[in-house]
Amino acid sequence: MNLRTLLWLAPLALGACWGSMPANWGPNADPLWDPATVVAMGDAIYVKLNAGGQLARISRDGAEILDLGAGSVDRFQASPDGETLVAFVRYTSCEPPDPRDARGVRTVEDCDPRFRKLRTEVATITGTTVERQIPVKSHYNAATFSDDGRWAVTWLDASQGIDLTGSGVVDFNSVLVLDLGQEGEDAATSVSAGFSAENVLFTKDGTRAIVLSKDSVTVLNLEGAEPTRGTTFRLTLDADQSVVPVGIELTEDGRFALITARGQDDLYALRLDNPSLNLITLSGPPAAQGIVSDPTPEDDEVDDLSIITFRDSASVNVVDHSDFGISVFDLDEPMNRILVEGREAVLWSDEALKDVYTFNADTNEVVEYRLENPAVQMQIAPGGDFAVALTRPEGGFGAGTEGLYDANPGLEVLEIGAGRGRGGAKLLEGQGVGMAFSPSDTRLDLLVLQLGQTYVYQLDLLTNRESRVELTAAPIRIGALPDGGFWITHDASMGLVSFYDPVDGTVVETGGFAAAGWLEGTPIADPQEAP
Amino acid sequence: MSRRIALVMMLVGLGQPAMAAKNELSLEGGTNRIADPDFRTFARGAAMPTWGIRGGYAVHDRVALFGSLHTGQRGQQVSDGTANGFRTAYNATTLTLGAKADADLGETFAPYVSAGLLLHHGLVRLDDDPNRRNNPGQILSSSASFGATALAGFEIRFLPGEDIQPALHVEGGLQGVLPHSYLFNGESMLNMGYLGPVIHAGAGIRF
Repeated sequence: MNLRTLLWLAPLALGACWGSMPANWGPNADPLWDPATVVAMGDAIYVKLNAGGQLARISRDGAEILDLGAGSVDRFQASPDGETLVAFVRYTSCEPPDPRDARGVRTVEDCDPRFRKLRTEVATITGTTVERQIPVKSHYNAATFSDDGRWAVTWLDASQGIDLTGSGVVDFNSVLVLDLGQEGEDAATSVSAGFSAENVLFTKDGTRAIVLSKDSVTVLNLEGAEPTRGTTFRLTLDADQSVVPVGIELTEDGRFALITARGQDDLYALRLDNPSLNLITLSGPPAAQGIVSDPTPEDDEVDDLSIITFRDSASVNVVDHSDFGISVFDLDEPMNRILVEGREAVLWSDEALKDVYTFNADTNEVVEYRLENPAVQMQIAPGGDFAVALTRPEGGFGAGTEGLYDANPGLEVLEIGAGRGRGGAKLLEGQGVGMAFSPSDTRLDLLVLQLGQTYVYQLDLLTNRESRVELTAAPIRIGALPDGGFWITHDASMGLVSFYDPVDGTVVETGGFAAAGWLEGTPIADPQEAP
Repeated sequence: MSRRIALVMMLVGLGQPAMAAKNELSLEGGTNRIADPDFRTFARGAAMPTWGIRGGYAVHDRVALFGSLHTGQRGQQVSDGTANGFRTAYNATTLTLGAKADADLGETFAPYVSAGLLLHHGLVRLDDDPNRRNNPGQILSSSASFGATALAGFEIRFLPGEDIQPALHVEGGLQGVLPHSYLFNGESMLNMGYLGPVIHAGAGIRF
């Protein structure tokens, strides 16, 4: 090969050098997504892309950006039936006095903030399809749904961050009832429901919604042609006295709403079908409240009951819903958390205490357990045979095994079902920050996330068999899918979700989806066009 | 002094008779301006430095056909409040084919104009783990488009009379590329297209 031939071949060596990427310091951006804010539905999870406000559906098969037109998702959540995603979608148009100023405006960021016009719609989404859209006022920032997914009540929750941009007149005295089976403005009905709503519950049959607001409780009837306000219960007759509700539960039959109030020893039992109010005196101001359901709601016998614990009193009150009689059980330590699975309740504390109690509603039996370290998180495994606690180091200076437990975060398994006992305590490498369960006929898999560890600890609670699932990035959140698999979100700028199958041990990663919003910006809506 | 001037004049060939267009092979670098808003994904400014190679084949006393291949890369680190942030990179490769005509001004100094059609290939990469060649947090998308270029410049040839002559050249003009889209998951995520000034300087041989 002569010199001339070599020279002519030189261009072939000019292919793009792609092994390295420039590292010039570029712009600052907000995080493209939030791996901790995730809604799981079906075999996928949904995440919001912060920069453009899009909603992405992430599954083993990849990522899909939902088509919301020029909409930007503000908040989203799954309905209780687990089949519908409900999103508050904002549409921002650019409407300067001189329309020529809107030429060339492609994104919200391009538009002068003075000329932005905002409208909000509630969208119901199945899979990747937007089924219905209902216009609502843009300041509504909270919503709850009936169990069947038919109804939603949305309201302005003053305890959350409020953006009043473009809200117009803000009314703290009404809530908006949405019929998710309809579309358009007719699907939304504004109903007066006391001052500053704080919580809304639906009866199981979806015929009533109960709005808890400052000093009052309002029943909304959902059975007629359109939602109407029913009975309003005043929680105090003295205008100088303020009752701040801290918890509300409905009895299984939907006839009673049980309300606890901050700093008060009383349980307010509101009869909804035949309006009346009973005050039941408890052992102290409640810290937590839970309801054990009636296993046979179809019969006439009322078997559901309330369990109430107290921050300042080492006891638990059990309120029988048939006659609202109270049984008091003494404990060694006050508990401020309650978990319920079937007829079993687990009482625990996240305030540096190590006692855990179970209460069985069938036998009225309280059993005490003792953790090695204080719990920061506790869950009951599906089936109710195990309770699992993630614990934190205690900072003690004990020796031997006790000292090791004191100095390290742990995972503690309590057998709370028929074969009661200690399932054992394990030391973790990092602080446990999340767990999820996946039951099958032969396994009950538990996956635990640890702070700063790029693997997930897997434990089959039935066989005590354990393993590690190696990941490519630090995990942030974990959850189980209906098919028995797990999803895990990661601390990765461009988006990363792992799907893990505990049976065959495979991990499928989907990533890179979060850049879409950053590249495209938030689209501007056409002021003439209905979204 | 006069002998030194004479030596320099002899080296650069001034005073020699005019010479026909020659075959050429040059390495060159330069920059073009991509004034497209989407280019801000990869750089604060609009400059796109490139380097490449140009070859020419004389088909007439004053005319040569030429082909050039240029490549360039811009990118930046984006900080998003997470531990690593992510990086962006834009790789552009341009193949240009055209004709170049020079003026008969002597053996060493040859002003010229050129025009060409170009094939532009762009590769976009966004990556939150750039140290791993393949990772799920990586977006790769490529696209191609056509364009055109019109340049004017000059070259200085050394060692007149030799079979292979070293030469330097400088050229500038306009270059444009038709709009083209970069797709991710089937959706257009970037649209690029530009018409802007371009400048090249290079060194090579004429033979």
